[in-house]
Amino acid sequence: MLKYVLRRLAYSLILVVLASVFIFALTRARGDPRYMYLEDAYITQERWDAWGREMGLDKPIVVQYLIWASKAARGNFGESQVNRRDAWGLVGERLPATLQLSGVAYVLVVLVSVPLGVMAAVKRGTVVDLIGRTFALLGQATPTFWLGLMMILLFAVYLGWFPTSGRGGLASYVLPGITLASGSIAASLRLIRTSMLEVLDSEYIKFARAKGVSSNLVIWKHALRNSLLVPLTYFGLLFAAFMTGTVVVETIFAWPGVGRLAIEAVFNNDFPVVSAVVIFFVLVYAVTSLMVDLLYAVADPRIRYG
Amino acid sequence: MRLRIRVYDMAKSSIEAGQLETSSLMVTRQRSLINRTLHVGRRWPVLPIVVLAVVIVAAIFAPLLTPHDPTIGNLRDRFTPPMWQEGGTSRYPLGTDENGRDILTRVIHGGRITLIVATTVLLSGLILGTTLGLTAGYIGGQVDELIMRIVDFTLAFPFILVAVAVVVVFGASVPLIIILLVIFGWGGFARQARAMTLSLKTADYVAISRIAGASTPRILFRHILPGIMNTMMVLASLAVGGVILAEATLSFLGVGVPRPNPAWGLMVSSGRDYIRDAWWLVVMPGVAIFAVVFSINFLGDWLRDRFDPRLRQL
Repeated sequence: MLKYVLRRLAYSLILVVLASVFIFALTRARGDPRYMYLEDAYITQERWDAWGREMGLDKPIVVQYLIWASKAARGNFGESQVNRRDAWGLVGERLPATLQLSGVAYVLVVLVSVPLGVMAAVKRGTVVDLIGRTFALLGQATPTFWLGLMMILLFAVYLGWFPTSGRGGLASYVLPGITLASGSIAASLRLIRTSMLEVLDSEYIKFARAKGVSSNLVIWKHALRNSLLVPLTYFGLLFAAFMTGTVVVETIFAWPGVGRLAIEAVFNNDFPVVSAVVIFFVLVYAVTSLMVDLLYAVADPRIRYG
Repeated sequence: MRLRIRVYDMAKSSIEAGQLETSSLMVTRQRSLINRTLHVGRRWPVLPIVVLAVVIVAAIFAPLLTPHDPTIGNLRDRFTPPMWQEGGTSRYPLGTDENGRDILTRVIHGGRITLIVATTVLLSGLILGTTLGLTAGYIGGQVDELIMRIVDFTLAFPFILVAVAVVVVFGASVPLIIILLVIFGWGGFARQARAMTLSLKTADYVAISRIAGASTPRILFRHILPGIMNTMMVLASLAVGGVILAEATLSFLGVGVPRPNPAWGLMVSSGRDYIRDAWWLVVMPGVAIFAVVFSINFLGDWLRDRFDPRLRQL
C-alpha cells in the first residue's frame, strides 16, 4: 500500500512540475520575460536592470526556472496587468463563486443521473431507457456554450423566469448550474446504468431476491451500493472537470468566478493572472485525482495489493 | 505500477467512454424512433450523409454559391431578420449580423474553417498517435513507459486553460489551434493502437516474419498496421465530432480562430451581445454546429457497427 501511495504521489508531483515548466517556458517564449510583467510603459534603466538581476536573467536558464518556481510556490505569480493586484490573490477572491457553481452542478448531476441510471438499468429497453438514450445522443452533439445561450434565450429573454446573467439570488444559479451539469449527466447516467446492469446479474442479487427481500430493497440497497464503485472514480474526477468547465459556463453567464477571470485575462493580455489560473487548475486536478485514486485503493483491495 | 495505471485508465476512459459510449446508444436491438427516421433506406444512414454532403460541397464551392462577402458587410442592412420573419428579405435568407454581413454566407464559409481544422487535426493526430502507439506496444519496456506517461500527461492537463495561456503569449491563429488540438488529441489514438499492437505482436505471422529477418519498421508498418487500420479509422470517425466541438468552444472563448473569420463558434460569441433583439445571430451558427456534429457522430456509430463492432465495448 505504501509503495502504491508513494508512486501515486510522485505522479501528481510530476504533473504539477511539468505544468510549472510549461508556464515558465511560456514566459521565456517571446524573448525578455520582463515585457510580460511590465505594468508601466515607463521604467528607469536602474529598475529595469535590478529587475533583471532579481529574475536571474544573467544566470543559466535552470537557475532562472528555480527562481521563478520558488516564487510561484509561495503564490507569487506577479501582479495583474490590469489593476496591479496580486494574481494569486485574485484567484482566491474568485474561487467561492466557482465552487458554489460547481457544487450546484454536482448536486444536479448526482440527483438526476443516479435515480435515472438505476431506473434505466432496472427497466432496460423501456420508455425510461429510451428517453435517457435520446437525450444523451442529442446532448452529445450540442456545444455547451450554445446550450447555455439557448436556455438564456428561452428562459430568460422570452419567459423571463431567470436572470440572463450575473450572480445574485437563488434564481441566478439555475441556468448556469444546469448548463454546467448538462455535459456530464448523460455520461454518468450511462456509467451507472452499465455497472448497475452488471451487478443486477450477479449471484448474490439473485440470492437476495430468492430469499424474499423486497424488490426495492434489493435495487436501492444491495445493488446500488456495489454498482457505485466504478462511477465513484468518475464522480471524483467530475469535480476537476467541472472546474475547467466553468471557463465556458462563467463566460456565458458573466459569472464572477475563476474561469471568467482567465478569459478576461486573455482579452487584457494579462499573463500573470493566466499563469496563476492555469497552475491553480492543474493543482485542483492533481489533488482530486490523487484523492480519488487513494480512496479507490482503500475501497478496492485488488488495487492495494497490485 | 501496472495496476495503478489501470485505475487511472479506468477513470480516464470512463470519462472518455462517457462520451464514446453515449454514442453507441443507437445500437439497440429494437430500433428506436430516431434510428428509423434517420435510416431512411434499409441500411444507409441517409439523412446524416445528406447533411454532411451539403456542408462539404457548400464549403468547397463557397465563393461561387453566394454573392456576399463573408467578412465585409453592408452596415445599412445590419440586423435584417431571416427571410421568413417580418422585415426579412430573400437577399439575406438567414438574416444579417451586427455588421450587416449575410449569415448564410458566413455559415457556409465557416464550414470551410471547420472542415479544414477538423481534417488536419484528425489526420495529424491519427498518424502521430498510431505511430507512437505502435512503437510503444511493439518495443515495450522503457519506450512504452515513456510514451504512455506522456499520453497520461497530455490527457491530464486542463486543455482549455493551456490554450488560454498559449494564446495570451502568441495570439490566436488557425495553425496554433490546430497544433494545440493535435497535441491534446493524439493520446487516445496512441492508447488504442498500443493496446491492439500488444495483442497482435504475439500472433504467429508476426513471429514468423521476425524470424525471417524483417526489420522492426517493416513489421510495424507492413504487418501490424494493416491489422489495426480498420479500428483506427473508425476511432477517428468517432473523434471528429469532439474535435469540431473543441474548436468551436475555443473560438467561442476567443482563443481559437481569430476575428473576423466566420468560424461558427466565433459567430455565436459575437451574437451573444445581441441575443435580446436578434436571436438569429446566435441560433444559426449553433444549428450548423449541432447538425454537423450530430451527423458525424451518427455516421461514426454506423461505421463502427459495420466495420468494428468490438469497439462498442470501448
